[in-house]
Amino acid sequence: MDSKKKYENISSTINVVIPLFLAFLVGAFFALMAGYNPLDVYFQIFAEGFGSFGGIMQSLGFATPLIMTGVATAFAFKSGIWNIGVEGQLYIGAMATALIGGGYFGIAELNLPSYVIIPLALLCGVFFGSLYACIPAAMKAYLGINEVVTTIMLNYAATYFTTYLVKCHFQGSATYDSTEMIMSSAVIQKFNPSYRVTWAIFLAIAIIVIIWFIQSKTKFGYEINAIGRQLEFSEAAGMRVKKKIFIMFLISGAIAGLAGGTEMLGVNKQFTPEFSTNPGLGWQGYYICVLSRQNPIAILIIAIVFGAFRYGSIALQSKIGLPLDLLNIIQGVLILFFSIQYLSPAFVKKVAQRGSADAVQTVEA
Amino acid sequence: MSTIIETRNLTKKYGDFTANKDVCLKVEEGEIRAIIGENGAGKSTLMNMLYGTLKPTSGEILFDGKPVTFDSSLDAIKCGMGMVHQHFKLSPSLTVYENIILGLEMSREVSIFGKKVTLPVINNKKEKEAVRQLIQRYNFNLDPGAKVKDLSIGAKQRVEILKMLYRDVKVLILDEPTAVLIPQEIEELIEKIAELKKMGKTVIIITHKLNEVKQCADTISVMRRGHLVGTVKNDDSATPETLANMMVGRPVQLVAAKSPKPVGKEVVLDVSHLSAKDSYGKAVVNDVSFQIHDNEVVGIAGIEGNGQTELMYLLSGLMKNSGGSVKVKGKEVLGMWPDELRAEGIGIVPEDRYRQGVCLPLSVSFNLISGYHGDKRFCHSGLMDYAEIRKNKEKLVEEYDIRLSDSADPPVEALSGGNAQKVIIAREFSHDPSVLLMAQPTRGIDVGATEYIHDEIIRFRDKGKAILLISSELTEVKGLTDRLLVMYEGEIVGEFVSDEVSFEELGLYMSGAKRMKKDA
Repeated sequence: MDSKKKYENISSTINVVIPLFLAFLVGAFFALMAGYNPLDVYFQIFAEGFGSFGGIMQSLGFATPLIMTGVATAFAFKSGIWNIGVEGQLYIGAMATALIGGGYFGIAELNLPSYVIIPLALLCGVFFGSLYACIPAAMKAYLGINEVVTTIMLNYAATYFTTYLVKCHFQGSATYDSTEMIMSSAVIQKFNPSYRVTWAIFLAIAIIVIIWFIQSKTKFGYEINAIGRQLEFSEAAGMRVKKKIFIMFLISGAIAGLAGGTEMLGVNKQFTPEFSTNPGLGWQGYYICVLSRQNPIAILIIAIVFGAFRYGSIALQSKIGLPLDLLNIIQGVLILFFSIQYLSPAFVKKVAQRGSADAVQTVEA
Repeated sequence: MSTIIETRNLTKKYGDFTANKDVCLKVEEGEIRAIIGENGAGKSTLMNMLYGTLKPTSGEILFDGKPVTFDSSLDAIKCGMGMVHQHFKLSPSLTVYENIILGLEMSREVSIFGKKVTLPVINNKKEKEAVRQLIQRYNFNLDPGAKVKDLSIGAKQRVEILKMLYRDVKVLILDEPTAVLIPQEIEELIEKIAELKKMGKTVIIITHKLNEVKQCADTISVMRRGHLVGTVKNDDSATPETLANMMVGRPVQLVAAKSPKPVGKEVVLDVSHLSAKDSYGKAVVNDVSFQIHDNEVVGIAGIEGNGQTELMYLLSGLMKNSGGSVKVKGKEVLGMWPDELRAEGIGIVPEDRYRQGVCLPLSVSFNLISGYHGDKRFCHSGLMDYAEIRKNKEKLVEEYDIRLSDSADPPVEALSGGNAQKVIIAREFSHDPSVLLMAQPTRGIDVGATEYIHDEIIRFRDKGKAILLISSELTEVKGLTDRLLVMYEGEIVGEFVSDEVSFEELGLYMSGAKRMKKDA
């Protein structure tokens, strides 16, 4: 391994460890304020999430949509597009899937078998997720409007629009705001009814593999690599930048829609406006995207850790009454600390060289 | 004569990199000193230390025999040292006198009951008069009341110089003063510098243009790789060749010798009535027509901002046209995308190397195929062939002598300017295009790489290619080309056989003073 890479690796490892530590420190402060022993709380969260087979199954269940929203955000991010609208695209996708899966529009009467209705419902989610992403995509590519602003605002539009649809058009038989339950033929089965994880986890992993393949092997991947770094260069090399930006937005929105769809068919089994709140699957996907630095393997690992956290916190909430917000604080603070670069590779190199006298290097201008 | 500036073992380090190493410079009072060297030789670092904008790592500066330390350029100016930067630091919306006085404003005074009271109001009249006298004293041809944005580049430079003279500096440092000037303005500047010398000022000129150094300097100091390699008297023994030799450390040929091979008969690139408007509707390229034959290099000269950039954009598929046609061997190519143009056999070396030519954070192998990345060689049904891309890199690095840093496939940002440009040259030349469009191919790169690129251009021409060369380096466009076009305000205003036209004649056309009648 050449020395430069080594210093980069050391510094990036340190840059992950420090924010983790600080985030847990701040979390500990709030845990103390709430009257809990922070070390005990952390230990129990981990024990719940990873300590047993059941815990792991639950954690993977919570991780499934996070893997997808993480990939959706990271894929756009890698090409220089800040799709902060995954949350909104997820809502629209979830709504579409829930309506098809719920047998609306006369679909219930068709008695479609599972192998037709599940793909159909999910494809609808994918389609409407990417359709919703078309709005910021067109504004960005053809009008030059910053996508951060439009996607964030469209998140609110999506949540309120779907709430309206539920309340005024598709209210199911339940007493709370929700659509009809998903037809039994449209449900994505769980491995074991007592655990949250469904077959959709394989779909999530498949998407990671596909996206990795696109990014590292295809011509499209070659081009988005350049577009994400230098627009003018990509334009001058004839990469049809506008079109590519559009396509990337659509793919990102499609994955987000799929994440919403699998939640509907596998876990929620009906659309409720709160299915993704606190802080939202799309928002957590954004955290994962930032923390993973868009590395596919890192996305998978961090999403599973986030899933375990979530399950552990929920378990502790019912066990000892620990507020779920503690987890949100830690996640939020983690992002805050993570955005600081604590050590540069150059600094690590300097420290390392001070230690070893033979590391004399000449650098040419 | 006494020594006015002396540096003793002046050293500046950035981390591992030494920009200046033990520089011992002595400048005599009242002389014109040229400091020459390639880009990155450390000239600017040295001057910025003298002017207080950079702090030396070690060593000392003596001014008038006394050691000084400058915390900022204000200290340097107080001490009597002024600098005119290559990129002017003027406020375009203010007038000449306001720019000159800026920071030393004169307040209006009134007397109330016999007491003088200073009002917080600027006394414009007094300021203007002071500047008028200053202009008169130094015989600078300027109107103190004119807005800076309306001035020519040469006049803006005079404002910069006056700004320093107003602060009564003894030493004037000029950083690449001729880079943006047309030949006539350069003549004028050189005269001005001689006058300043007569008035007792010391002038230091930083430049890499050897002809001008020969014209005006008393002594010449040469820098190479952060070292001061020598100081010579400007006499007959100091020829441009020997100076270039000192700068590079080996004999160099300054402008490639033209090939004796005659220009071909076949029209390869045919541009006719090409026009384009900017977003305000102004014609930035206006009815431009020219042809380039095989075995021919055609140059476009002109002061920057006269439509050369836009012409290049049009030809390389980056800008919408508003009429005209561009044909390569009879085939219309106007309006094609840049990758389609490349597939049609048009090589493109863009003007803005780091924004359009290469993608800095990405690897050399990546950059060596961009624009051709859809080519069957590198891409089979949508999948990239990374083994072939690596092979391509190894071949081109070897063939075009691209010096990579420590690793095998570093990002382009780790390369020097010359090597980054070689990446572009290698990429475009290796696909054997029939037409080559080049803009500013040697801007800001060292003499060695420039020499190499010039040779490559001539070699390429002799393979029967048509080359368009847009450059603001007049010696380059005149020296390398067979024919020369002059662009002024978006139009071609003159066409010359490169060997038969003088720099002065070109200057008249470049400044818009003369133009040829257009054929109907």
